[in-house]
Amino acid sequence: MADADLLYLPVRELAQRVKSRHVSSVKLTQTCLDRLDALGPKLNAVVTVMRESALAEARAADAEIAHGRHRGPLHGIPFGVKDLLATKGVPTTWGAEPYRNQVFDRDATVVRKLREAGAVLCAKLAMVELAGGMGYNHADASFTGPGLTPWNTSFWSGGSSSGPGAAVAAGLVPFAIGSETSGSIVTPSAYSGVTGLRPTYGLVSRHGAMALCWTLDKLGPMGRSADDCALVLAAIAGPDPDDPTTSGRSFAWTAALKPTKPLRVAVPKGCTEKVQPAVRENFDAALAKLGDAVKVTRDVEWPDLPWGPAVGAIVTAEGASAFLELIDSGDVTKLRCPACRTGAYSGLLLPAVDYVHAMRARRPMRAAMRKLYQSYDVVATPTRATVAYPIDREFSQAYPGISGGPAVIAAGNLTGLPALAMPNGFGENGLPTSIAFMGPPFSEAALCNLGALYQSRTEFHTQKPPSFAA
Amino acid sequence: MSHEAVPREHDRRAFLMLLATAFTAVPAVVHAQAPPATPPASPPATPASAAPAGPEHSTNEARLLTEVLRSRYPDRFDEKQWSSIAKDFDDDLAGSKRLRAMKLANGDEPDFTFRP
Repeated sequence: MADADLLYLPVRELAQRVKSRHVSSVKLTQTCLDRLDALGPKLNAVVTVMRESALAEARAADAEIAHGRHRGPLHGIPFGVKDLLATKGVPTTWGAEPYRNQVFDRDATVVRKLREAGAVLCAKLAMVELAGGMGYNHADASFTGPGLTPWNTSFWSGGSSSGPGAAVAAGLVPFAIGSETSGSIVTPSAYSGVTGLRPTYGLVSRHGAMALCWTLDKLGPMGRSADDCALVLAAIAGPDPDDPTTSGRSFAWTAALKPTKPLRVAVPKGCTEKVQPAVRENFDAALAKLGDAVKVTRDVEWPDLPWGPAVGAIVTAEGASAFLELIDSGDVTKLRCPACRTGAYSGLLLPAVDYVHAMRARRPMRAAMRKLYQSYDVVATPTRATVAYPIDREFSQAYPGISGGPAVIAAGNLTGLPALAMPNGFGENGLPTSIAFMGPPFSEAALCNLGALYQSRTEFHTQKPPSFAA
Repeated sequence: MSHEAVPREHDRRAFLMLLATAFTAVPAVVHAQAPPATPPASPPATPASAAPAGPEHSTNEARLLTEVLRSRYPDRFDEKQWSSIAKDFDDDLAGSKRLRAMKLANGDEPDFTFRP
């Protein structure tokens, strides 16, 4: 097996090889670092490669394992993080020119937890500037340039976790940590052809992560498979006194492929009508693959609530507050995307009553979702209505006439629900398509089991982008 | 006992009228308190007394709100950028209208909890 092929193995298998010392963590890490250096720039996926510290961590992992101390399935496994997670002594740029030289004196809780699990941090990965909170309308919205999907580098890797998506897809790291305020894990997972897990709000500490929107921000894993994401989630979930929004819950993962009884799957009305043909075909084929493990109900009425305006008002208001100094000083005009230079200003005059109204709306919204989940276990949709956007035009010009369906991403984020996005085939221009499963709060185990079942019956998650394979 | 909230558009109009009449007095004060920390990234905008910013299709509300910002940051943007901001206001106002159309009862509290 070529060195690079190792990085496409499931984390569970990598862990076994490292534990049994068939492969050293140093070897794995060196392979990652070399690929991050060589291929990262071709995808605009990397901000900082952490060669020295990564090799030191890998040597320590190998030494511990040699002495019989194995910390678990992430011990010795390399990873990357979106560059909005603080790492002591290393630049944390938030993808934005004004913060290019920003250095923190502490690690984010998620980074600390992963290191405690023995994982090896290899790189800070690229992202849309300020996680897209200033209103970008084009892929070229980071000082590292537009994130490119390794399936076709004329197209975007998605945002705002563009680096994690591209880096995992291209086999630069086995897994990465992304963040989502409203769509920023599931979208790059879809456009890059990887598996991404947006956890329930409050399951994972955000301490040390850039704040865009306190009541919506979440951190989660992006990896090769549902099982990989669940293994990583088990390491990063849990209470944190430094983040008062953490729920107090942890996450234990035991794979149990087939559910004991068929899961009730709702397909919202209108979610496949205005999507690209391949997106629809691959979605239908994916549900068919699940066979008798699910009972699918189509055309389920989606609650008619102002999901988009509510998430818009909340992100606008909280984002403007989080970056008030940047906006007020004018430093925001140093951002890369022209729309981001002006996009935050209207937020300065957003009426407080609109923000409060949006926050009040979240309670009946949660009630509506609770009611939905009394009848169903999972909501299934295409993750995105199209394949990745081309990088040479504004998003609004990418696929005219494809309007998508109900605002499932906005609804899931407003109500804090977990979602799992997985590759389910290919569409236009050789680009991946994706299916998303969304469940009630803290249903990550059920979602990952369903995802693992699907991935046990398909091979889309094992595909390697031809130009980036070994 | 709770009552259904009803959007009160006339209040919003009154507020905007107040803004429209007030912004002419704002620039000297705001500009003196908060000058841009860095040079503007784009050519200086026209003075606040120039024609209202924003594309022709922007609503009057959006144009007025844009003028409030222009009075705060008179040299920060060029006309194309002010037009973009006016469009942002249009979008925000449309979203606000849809948001306020959602019926909420008086007792529906915001979804965050204050803990003393």
